[in-house]
Amino acid sequence: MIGLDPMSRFYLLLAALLLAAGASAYAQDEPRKPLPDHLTFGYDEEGKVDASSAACEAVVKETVEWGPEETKQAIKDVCAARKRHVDAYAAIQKSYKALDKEIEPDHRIDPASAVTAFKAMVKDCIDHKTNLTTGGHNIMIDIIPNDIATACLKIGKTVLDDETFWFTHGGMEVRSAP
Amino acid sequence: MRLLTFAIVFIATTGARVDAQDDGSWHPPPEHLTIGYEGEGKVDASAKACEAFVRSMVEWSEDEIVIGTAEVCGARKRHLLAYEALQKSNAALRQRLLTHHKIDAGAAIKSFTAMVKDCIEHKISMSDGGHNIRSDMIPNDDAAICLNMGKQLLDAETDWLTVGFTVSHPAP
Repeated sequence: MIGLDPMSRFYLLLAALLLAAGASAYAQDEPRKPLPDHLTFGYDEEGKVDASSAACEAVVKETVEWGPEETKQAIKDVCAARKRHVDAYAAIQKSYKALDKEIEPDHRIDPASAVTAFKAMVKDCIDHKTNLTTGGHNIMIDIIPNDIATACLKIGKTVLDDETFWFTHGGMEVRSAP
Repeated sequence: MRLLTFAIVFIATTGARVDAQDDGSWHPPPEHLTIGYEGEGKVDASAKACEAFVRSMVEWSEDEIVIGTAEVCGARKRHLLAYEALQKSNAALRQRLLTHHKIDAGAAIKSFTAMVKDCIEHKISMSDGGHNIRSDMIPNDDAAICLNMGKQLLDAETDWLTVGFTVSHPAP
């Protein structure tokens, strides 16, 4: 811009503005990207939880040296926490699918941004709860993160279910916001 | 010269802040939660403010204005009450966290406020923003719902910290 006379600067700026406005209009005309089929939150061990007895037994035997009765109970406890996590994960995906059906075709709203913020919300919940514990010791090291994930996935599921209900039961006629 | 002074003060301040966070010592959780969403702490639920907003948005009959004012004030009050309730729940959790120096309260609260903000952003993206008086009601109701969700979370965690870490309920 240095060396240009004021009129040339003005036209250059105008051209840049028109170009930017054109690009923006083009972006708005583009078809919306489909929403993801599956929610990925990005927390540690997401999608890697093995709730089989063999896997639970392996982690217990690796973590503690307990008697047979205590070991048996510990395997049950570890497996139960892992199953709660796996079930909550499956449940939130199911709730997401139900909501997806309602929001995908609705061009008045911004589902992509909504999904991005939702995933961040669940991840922040997990981070928050993780920071509220000392991490535990022995088998609790495995149980605590699974229970934390379960708690946050359940909160997320409730949010999605309430929103699906809102969309399928009158929406704004009954309450102003989802 | 002013710019240089500003730069020095800015660098010194940010440097001090980094030191305070990285010194490894325990810091108390904040007394007041600031979530960081638009309009936070600026909600005026007085009848006068609600009526002024309604009159600026629509040209309705006097009866409709009265109803519109009540609707707007209702949403604003729900928001304010939820905000106050969340701060109260934070105060209760804070009391518990003050005695648990092994817990990283600073990080926990940071992700908590981010969570509530994400919730509000999520809900805002789920609506078309509304028209006429709804453009005021929707963001207030979105905020109220997410603040209530946050409050329930904090209350459950306060209970958990009060009862103690049990085998059947090892995580908050």
